[in-house]
Amino acid sequence: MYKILAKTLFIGKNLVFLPSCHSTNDIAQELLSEGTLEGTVIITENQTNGRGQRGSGWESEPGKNLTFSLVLKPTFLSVQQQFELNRVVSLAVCDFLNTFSTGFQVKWPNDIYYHDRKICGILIQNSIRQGRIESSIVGIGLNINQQIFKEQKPISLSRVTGEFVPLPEALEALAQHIETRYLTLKAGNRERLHKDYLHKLYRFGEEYLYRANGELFNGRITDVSPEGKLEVESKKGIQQFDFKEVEFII
Amino acid sequence: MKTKEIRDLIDFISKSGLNEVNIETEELKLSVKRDAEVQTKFVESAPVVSQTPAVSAPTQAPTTPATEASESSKPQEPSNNYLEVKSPMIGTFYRSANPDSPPFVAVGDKIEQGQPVCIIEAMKLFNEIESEVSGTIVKVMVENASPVEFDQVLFLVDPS
Repeated sequence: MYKILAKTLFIGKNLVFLPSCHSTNDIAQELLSEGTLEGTVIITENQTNGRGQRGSGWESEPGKNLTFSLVLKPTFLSVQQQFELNRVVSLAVCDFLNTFSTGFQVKWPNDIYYHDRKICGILIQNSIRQGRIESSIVGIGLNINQQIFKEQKPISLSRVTGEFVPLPEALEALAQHIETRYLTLKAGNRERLHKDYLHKLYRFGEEYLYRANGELFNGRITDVSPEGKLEVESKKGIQQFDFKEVEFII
Repeated sequence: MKTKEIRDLIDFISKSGLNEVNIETEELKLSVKRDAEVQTKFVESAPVVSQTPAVSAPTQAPTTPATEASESSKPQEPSNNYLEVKSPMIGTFYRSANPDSPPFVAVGDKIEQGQPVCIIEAMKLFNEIESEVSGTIVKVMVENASPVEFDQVLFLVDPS
């Protein structure tokens, strides 16, 4: 059902469709070891062992959502600059969703939320050779047409707009947005990405409740550092947090 | 600072993999530097601790303890004969791709240059680190799921 993407420059020119597979990121890794090209997309209808970050799964009803992986070779980035990949991909997903409706934002570091509900998860796996990024597998799970979720929290695009969205068209449009953002990064315009990322950042600049070191506190997100740390201003002054060091109270 | 506290601190530093630590407060100035000899000693004692198979080994065929013995005699050589696999970044060190999958490498495994040896995660980005050296893993220097610094030694590898 998915065809080679026509409107992009390099993403999806090689497209692998699998009716069912355990994890598109794992398939991407296998293809990479065989030397697959940048832009290769592996997409499935039914991901049986979809993964979020270490150990957490990803729930998706077969045939309803986009679950795919994209192979990139951002060899122009140093290992220290890899947070840019989170910026590029999460911004692109936001750009895509914002063509349907407002209200989509990036929850630091790389989840996409519609108000307080998650609509998209991103899992990026890099391969580091000789201290350089050799390749990058971007796994995306984006809820499109699923209506009912086991848990209350997640939401889908169709639940927001009330309309069915054909998946192949959604993939093509999303791929174009990823490509645009990726090429902005490749061209070296990191300042633009940084600015747009803050602009789209969930809870940026306003006071909300957070938890760090087991303690609740009111804070205001002021920035995200080049390496991706979240800067939160509170009574204690401005603190920088690593992922897992701070929890959003939603 | 009490003697015990200093001892604990040195103990902590020795386990940390750091080569040099300087601490200065109002009441004391402490400088700990690891030299090659100390490191050799450290390497010598550690594989027994990290290698859980040692628990099951004695009940098995007598060949296993023999390998064990030859392995523990090796670290008598100066540690600079070993190659190091270092962390290219700050992050969290994981020995396996997923919590339910086996470690990439274990002590005694032969590895080739370019073989993935661990994952380092930073800001939800998962980095599979390929070894830059070939040889036999002599020691895993970092505990699973613990933080690592840039250039920190992750594995010691015997190239011979």
